[in-house]
Amino acid sequence: MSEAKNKTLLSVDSLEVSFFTYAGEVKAVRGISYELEEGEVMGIVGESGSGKSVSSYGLMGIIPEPGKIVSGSIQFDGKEITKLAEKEMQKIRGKDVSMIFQDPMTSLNPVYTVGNQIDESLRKHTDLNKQQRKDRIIELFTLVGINQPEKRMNQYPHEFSGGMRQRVMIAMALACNPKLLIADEPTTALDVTIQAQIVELMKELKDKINMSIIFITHDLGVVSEICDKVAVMYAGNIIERGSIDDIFYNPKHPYTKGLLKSVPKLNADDHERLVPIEGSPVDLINPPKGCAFAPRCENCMKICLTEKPPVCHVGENHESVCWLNVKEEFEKESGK
Amino acid sequence: MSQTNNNENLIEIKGLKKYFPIKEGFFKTKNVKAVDDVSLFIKKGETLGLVGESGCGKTTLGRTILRLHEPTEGQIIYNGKDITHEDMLPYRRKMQIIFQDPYASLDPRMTVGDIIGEPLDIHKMYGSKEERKEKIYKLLETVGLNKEHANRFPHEFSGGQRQRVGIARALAVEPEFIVCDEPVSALDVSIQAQVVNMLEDLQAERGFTYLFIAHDLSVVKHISNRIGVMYLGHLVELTDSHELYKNPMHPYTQTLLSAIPIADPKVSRSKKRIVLSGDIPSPLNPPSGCAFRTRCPHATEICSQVTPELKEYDKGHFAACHNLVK
Repeated sequence: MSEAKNKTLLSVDSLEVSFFTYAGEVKAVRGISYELEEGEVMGIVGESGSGKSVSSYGLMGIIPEPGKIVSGSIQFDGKEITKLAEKEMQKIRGKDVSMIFQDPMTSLNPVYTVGNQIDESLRKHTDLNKQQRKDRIIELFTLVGINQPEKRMNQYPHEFSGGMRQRVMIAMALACNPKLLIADEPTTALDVTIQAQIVELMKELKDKINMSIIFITHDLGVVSEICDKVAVMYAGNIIERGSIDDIFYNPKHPYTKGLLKSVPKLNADDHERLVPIEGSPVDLINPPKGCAFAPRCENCMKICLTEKPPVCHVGENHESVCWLNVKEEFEKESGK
Repeated sequence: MSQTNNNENLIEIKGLKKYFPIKEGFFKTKNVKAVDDVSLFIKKGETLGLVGESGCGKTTLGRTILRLHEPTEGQIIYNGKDITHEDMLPYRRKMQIIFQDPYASLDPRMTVGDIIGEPLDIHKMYGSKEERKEKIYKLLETVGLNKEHANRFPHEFSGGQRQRVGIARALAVEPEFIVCDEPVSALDVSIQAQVVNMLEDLQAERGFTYLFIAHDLSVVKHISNRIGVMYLGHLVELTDSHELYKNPMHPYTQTLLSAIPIADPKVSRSKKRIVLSGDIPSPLNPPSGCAFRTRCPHATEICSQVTPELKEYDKGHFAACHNLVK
């Protein structure tokens, strides 16, 4: 598993996803690109409606109707998966790529025992016999910290608490040793103390099985605990991406800066006033012509309203999509 | 408990209990002890924060203070007057609530103007239709909406705007005391800050007293003067907000604080975390003695026998734990 540590596992290139509704085409994801290496954890942050979940549904091939991948490519482990037939996709889904959903209360089937539900992917993707599968489930339950696995695997979801259900979901996702785990807001529905348990668990598992994780969340705190790098999404675009230190200590895009400033700090001694980002998120049926963030941006220039900003390399592996960065670069060069 | 009894206190509750009966079979009923023997006071013009995990009774406490739930036992004193058994109508003008879920708490078939106008109707706060309209427009303006919004329906608004409508509705009767029941939990981070700032501005302008309920400790710390921590229906710690973060006494508060993810990679890498094992017990079957003992790392024998009382350990710093030695 760990022969080449820096092998690229996933590369997404200008992916576009749209929903064709009666009201018009909703451009949920408008051309995003990123790469993920083996064993790496990438966070995707953004507000609701920024396209962070939809973009990852694309990786699983489970974009709900009436959504479609309009263009772009997704290379997973050297294979192009946007063009795969459903049958082919089913072989990858749950085996090489698996997902943890946001709400553990609704994403388990209430009429099957949890053991049965985990067993399903083992039956589909492995040649293990019944006893081996049972052993595997017990092993998984122990791994994610569920006590008395023999007894618990025969129980139904309603007999589990929220945190425990999320552990079941994680066990299910890990069943076939996936190379990539997509965690879609896995802790949002949980209390802080339970959230801490789950985050610790995922950190531990990551080191144990060396898988890549895409961690989707809106909580910057959780991101700073678990991720190696971060992509910030706004209105269907990745507006900034970079290593975790870049994003937190040297943010370049005004939206990222605003996001960091609008969270109250726990360790602040005095009462600091919060700096909100004024206005509200854009309408994706009619996205603005220029930069999507321009109407809310305090540094908005003329060009922002008419032209889409280019991707600027503001540092090593640090990209920001903003005209300000272009301006700074230009000023730097002409200053020399 | 030796909480001071002066007339600076706008709200005072003593030994408040709220049990919800659950039928078990034909004859047996069991009680869910949602709020169990809570006493506290809120001074005029101050913000008291209330934190705890889901199911700890913080929302029930907030609602019981407004008597949206009738208390099972205990006293609620408003401005020196016991209102536990009073007719609430005149007090509704002074005490209001902002609800948690802006998607569920606004009637989808009423226009925003009527939602805000309803409390004005009930308390007969206008002389003419014109005056009513003026008042509604003014309220909309106060919360950062404009008068064109008055004829629209709630579904036409975003979450942050709906929460503003909810706030305008609470402000309509010009109250003195507002229970904010997780007003920002359902909102996006960038919108959260807008609403928090607005609540602070309103308080500075009009001298409101808030009871601010939330599970997000960083927001609570930001807005509150004092904070109470609840666990399974009990108040386990109550103190000044800075003191609580600097010097948490109760083991539950300590774990709660260490569980908060901090948006600062360097801090979170170096942080040592106390991870609690297990879940919050069911309030139908709470543990004997101290409610927290099943998850507490320092639990001893006495914890399972005697329920600890809220005692003052430092000036204004109350905690309920057996293992705190002064």
